[in-house]
Amino acid sequence: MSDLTARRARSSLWDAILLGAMLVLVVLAAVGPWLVPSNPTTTDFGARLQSPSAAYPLGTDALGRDQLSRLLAGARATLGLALIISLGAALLGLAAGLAAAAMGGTGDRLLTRATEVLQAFPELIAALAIAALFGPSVGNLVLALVVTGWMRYARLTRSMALAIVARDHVALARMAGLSRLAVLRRHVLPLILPALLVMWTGGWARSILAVSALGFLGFGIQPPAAEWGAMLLDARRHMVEAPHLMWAPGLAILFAVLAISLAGDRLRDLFPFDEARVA
Amino acid sequence: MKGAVVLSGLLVTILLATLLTMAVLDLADGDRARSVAAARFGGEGTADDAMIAVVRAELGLDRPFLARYADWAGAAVTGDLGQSFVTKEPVAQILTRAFAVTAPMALAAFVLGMALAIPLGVLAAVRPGGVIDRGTVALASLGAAAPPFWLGLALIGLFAVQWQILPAYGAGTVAHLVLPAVTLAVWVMASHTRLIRSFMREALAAPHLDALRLRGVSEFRILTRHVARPVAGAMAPLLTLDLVGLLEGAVVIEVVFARPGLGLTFVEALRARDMAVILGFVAFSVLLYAAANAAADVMSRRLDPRLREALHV
Repeated sequence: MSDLTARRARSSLWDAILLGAMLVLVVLAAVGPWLVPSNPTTTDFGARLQSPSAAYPLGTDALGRDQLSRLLAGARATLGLALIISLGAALLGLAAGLAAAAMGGTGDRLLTRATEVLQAFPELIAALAIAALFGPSVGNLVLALVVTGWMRYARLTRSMALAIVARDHVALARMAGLSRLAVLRRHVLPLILPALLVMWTGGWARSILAVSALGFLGFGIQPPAAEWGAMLLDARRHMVEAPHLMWAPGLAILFAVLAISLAGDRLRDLFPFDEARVA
Repeated sequence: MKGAVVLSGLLVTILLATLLTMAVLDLADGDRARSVAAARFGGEGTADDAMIAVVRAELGLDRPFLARYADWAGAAVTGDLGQSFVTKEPVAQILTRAFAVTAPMALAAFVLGMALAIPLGVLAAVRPGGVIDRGTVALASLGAAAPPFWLGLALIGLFAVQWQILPAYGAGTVAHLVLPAVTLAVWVMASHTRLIRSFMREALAAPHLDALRLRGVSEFRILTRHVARPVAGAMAPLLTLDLVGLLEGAVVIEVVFARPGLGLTFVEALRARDMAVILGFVAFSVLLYAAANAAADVMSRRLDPRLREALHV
């Protein structure tokens, strides 16, 4: 009994830590650029590639820009854009999946076929091509990752919706005179959302890795704006003179992705569903 | 019969995917002839109208979209993917050469990653919730969260810059293979350890194992015949994701280590807007993905007889 109490206490502490970490990430994503100690794009050629000091806690880059300020300002690009991208992909997938399940017949077959064709492309490779060829901009970055990322949500939504529609409570709701749309909204959607939420946390983490990978390859957020992946691209150019530059952005990505994935694991424990078998 | 259905579905998917790729590349490419002429004759604005017209006719850009697709697809079936717009080298030759650089790295990473993932996953499953289990999950989560391009930089910083015992850039020798393969192996390890762990747990909990024990079947035979088999069956379909994941990982890692493999070739083609190489690479990756998917389907059916009954089209 005391073992169970101890385990409960431990898991609620763990929940509090994860919740706190998620809050920090959301706040950074929202207001990171306003927390900076100095202007993240101000250059100071008298203070190039400096090691961490009292004036510059994380040192300066090759243009003498304060790394701490760039890290905080970059949070909005990396975390915030990834948040928007993953939400966009989840909502688009939810809409497409519900539409396919509601239409049935030819409409369903066409939509399913379309998701199959789009899923034939490796996600990162397709996103890279779109972002690079349509010209690097925030809009194209979001577009590239949403267009290549919504299909998994659509497949999950569709297969869950089809299974739920076959249940008795849906038939009863229809018999009670509710319209198709009302049934979907009130009796199908609420049963899908927990699974979608679990999938979305994984999506946010994946998007952070994708946004920073594109930034690192030079096809994402462009200088002088700060983004964690693009900061690592800068760090790579000055590996020998200033090896300290790569630690802060890299560890920031690592901790963000780790915290979100662990929170996702915890949500999966709370709302268990078998992703591999449903999607 | 069913094989024919799967195969035709596969062909339609590949057809539509390459058609879509070509359409998107056309859309992305305002005036390809102008940019090719500029790339070939050096700098923007140096190509005059006559040069652009020559390039346009040479690339067949004055013809309708579907005719150009039919030409490309017809040639692609015979292994001819056209020529690079920049160097005029055959695309198939470029990709083959790059594949020879990527394949050893991907293979070494896969073997190394699995050599870590299998024992870790099995040990973690033996005592759920134990120290080894929790440590393994923590290690796998950490490995999955570390961005591969940063991991590569960190390894270069330590082994090439600080200690100077391994080369940072290039390809050719076994020493050049070590750092990129290790970086990619971390991804392989992280993505498989937890899967093997959960499949093992499921297989170990199967009630028929107790029946086998009662009949006196040895624990070794139970593990090798009655646990390993369903785990292998569950793992087989994931090999498709592995191939694509290794290719995607190669894109980022080859840029970090300047290895002239498929990934770096693709990124350089994107920078130069060399549409023939981009189209060839994307078509190759779609084909790889689709073929691996079909192969995995067949493999999991062979390993798990229950799936043979289920229609899976």
